[in-house]
Amino acid sequence: MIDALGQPQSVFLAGGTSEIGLAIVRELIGPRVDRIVLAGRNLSQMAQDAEPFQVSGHTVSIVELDVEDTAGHEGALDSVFSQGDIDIAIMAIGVLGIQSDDERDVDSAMRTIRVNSTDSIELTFRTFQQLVQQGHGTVIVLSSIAAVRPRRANFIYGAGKAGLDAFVQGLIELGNEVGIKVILVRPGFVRTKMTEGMAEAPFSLDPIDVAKDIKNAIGKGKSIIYSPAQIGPLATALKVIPRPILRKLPR
Amino acid sequence: MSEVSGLHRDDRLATLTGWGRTSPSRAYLVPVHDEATAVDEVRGAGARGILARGLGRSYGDSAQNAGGAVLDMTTLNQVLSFDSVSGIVTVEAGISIDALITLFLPQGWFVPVTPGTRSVTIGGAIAADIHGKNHHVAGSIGNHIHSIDLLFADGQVRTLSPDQSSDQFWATVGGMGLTGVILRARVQLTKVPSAFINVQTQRANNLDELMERQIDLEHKYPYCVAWIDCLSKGSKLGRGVITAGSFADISQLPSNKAARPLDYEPATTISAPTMAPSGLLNRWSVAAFNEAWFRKSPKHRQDEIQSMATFFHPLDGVAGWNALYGRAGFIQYQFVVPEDAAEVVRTAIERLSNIQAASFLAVLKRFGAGNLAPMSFPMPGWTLALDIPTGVVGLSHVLDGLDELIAQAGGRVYLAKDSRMRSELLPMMYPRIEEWNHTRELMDPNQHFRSDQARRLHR
Repeated sequence: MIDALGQPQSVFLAGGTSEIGLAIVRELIGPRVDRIVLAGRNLSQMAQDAEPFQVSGHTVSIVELDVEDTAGHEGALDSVFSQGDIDIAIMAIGVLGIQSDDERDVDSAMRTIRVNSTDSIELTFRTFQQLVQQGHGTVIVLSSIAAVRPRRANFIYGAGKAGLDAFVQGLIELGNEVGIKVILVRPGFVRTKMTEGMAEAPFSLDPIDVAKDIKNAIGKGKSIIYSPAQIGPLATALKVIPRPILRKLPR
Repeated sequence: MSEVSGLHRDDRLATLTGWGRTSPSRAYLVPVHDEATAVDEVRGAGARGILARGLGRSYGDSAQNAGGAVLDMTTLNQVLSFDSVSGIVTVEAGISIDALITLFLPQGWFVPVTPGTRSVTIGGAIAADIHGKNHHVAGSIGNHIHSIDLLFADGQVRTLSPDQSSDQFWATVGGMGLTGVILRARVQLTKVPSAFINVQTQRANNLDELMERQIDLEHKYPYCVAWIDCLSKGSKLGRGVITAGSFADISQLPSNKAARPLDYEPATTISAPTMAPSGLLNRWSVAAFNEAWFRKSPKHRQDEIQSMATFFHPLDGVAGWNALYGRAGFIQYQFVVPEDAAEVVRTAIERLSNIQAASFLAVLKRFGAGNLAPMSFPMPGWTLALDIPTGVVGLSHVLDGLDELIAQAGGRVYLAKDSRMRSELLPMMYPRIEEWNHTRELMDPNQHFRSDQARRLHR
């Protein structure tokens, strides 16, 4: 249960090897978290990621979950929730894709869009329903600044995240009615393995920065978070900048 | 997963919090008008279990049951019988202390124990084993209950008393609703000569003085409590005002009151604004209030006649005062430490004062002997209760530290107030918990009766 000061006892990370996701888990766990569930495809990587948590006294369980295998979502979530209540679920799922490949290969592009959009929506929605059933909980969903203003360099990824982002905006409202807190996070350029080798955008940040922003924003009761906060107004500005000028801006 | 639509559409679903308005959760809220409804609901309880709820005055998450069923007992609120010779009243569990006082004080009978509000049900009072200003002479409410009719997990109703089924009776007293649903109770009322209190007030300039004077006054009066200014520091640390008293004899009343000594009219209430901005109660406003309150109190005043309601339930005059803390809600922290660990009280005030945790209400009292209930809160020693807004920076860390200090001193935190303590400390604070677990296991082997607090603390 989340206590009166907002401290959880259990955390579930979908996308169990996500660097941002793991940073959020590290930031959220305090003296009370005793159960962490990591769910993802790469079991050996998750086992490695679990170690530091286990060393500091937390119980970590690992569940096999493939976001693209939507038929397996329900079974995977059942095993996550059968071990006890989940106070905070973190949806750190999706793929960046390789834009240059995706531009030439429609199948590849559609896969990038599907994983980030419908597959992610399905897992998020099923997780949300599990929280509704248990009568309490918070779900944190990682979207992207690219969902708000897709750029030339990432519009295929952005298109997928835009679908997820729109869905979660609505889920925030539904969550309000049914007592589930939904938090939508739109990070800018985060330095991770996923973005390794890419040219950094302005306001680049590390996973830990995103995690800290999320923790602060939760404390303030915010449901839509830009990380860093400055890119919120920037995203709005980008929306109204005429396309010919936008095209000439650095990425 | 195919049934999820149920939780979205059902009108009976309610978002519940405690009086502190933190940690909301959703549950099926079922109004209980008769025993049959309660039996049906208990028999049909699903995997998330079921729990009885009264007037929602416990501060934390002890009267919530996320994803399960919650029985609203306030509609089961009748007086079933009263013996005007013995003063034993049989009531349904949802009756409030307010209703009991309104009905019986005019006949010269008062509740044996009353907390700081009249808005609690008898069922809730027993489940929390509440205490009042007379704990040092009367003990907690469980000491005055002749029997309880408890609805068990198997759907059967059994009568529990301290003589027969003593283990189950005492597991239910202070059991926070986790042994079953209290349907009815036989309560011993106390004979009183009037509806007025003869009040003694003394001001103390620091904690030592406050404790000393309280010990002195409680030898003389059955009701005694101190208000503490938690924001004062240094030589003034722990300054406060003690009020003590007893029900006034007719001879002590002024003639207008002496003519009708049992007249009781609860003061009409004013309402707190329901949408108070967070931070209305901050360290400056509270400090100003405390200063004014301290200065307005007489250094020493004897034999002041106050109404029962003014003496016992000053906050009932402000309906919905919990809303003053705004959306973020507040914590009430109440602990007791044994007599020889009175220094912990000073440490608590110091540490909370250091992080500027403004406490609007801080109350200090010395408990008398505890009772046989393994999970009952009171024990001989000092109890401090205070309100803290949730937004205070560093609060969690400071309270965690205090919890440890209290547990090491052999003290404990009050579960009816708790909303945040660490589960590891529960067995230290309540060393008889294993005994209670054993009885609960016999009474409710599948843990039908569940609460958010139980999920948080009992693992």
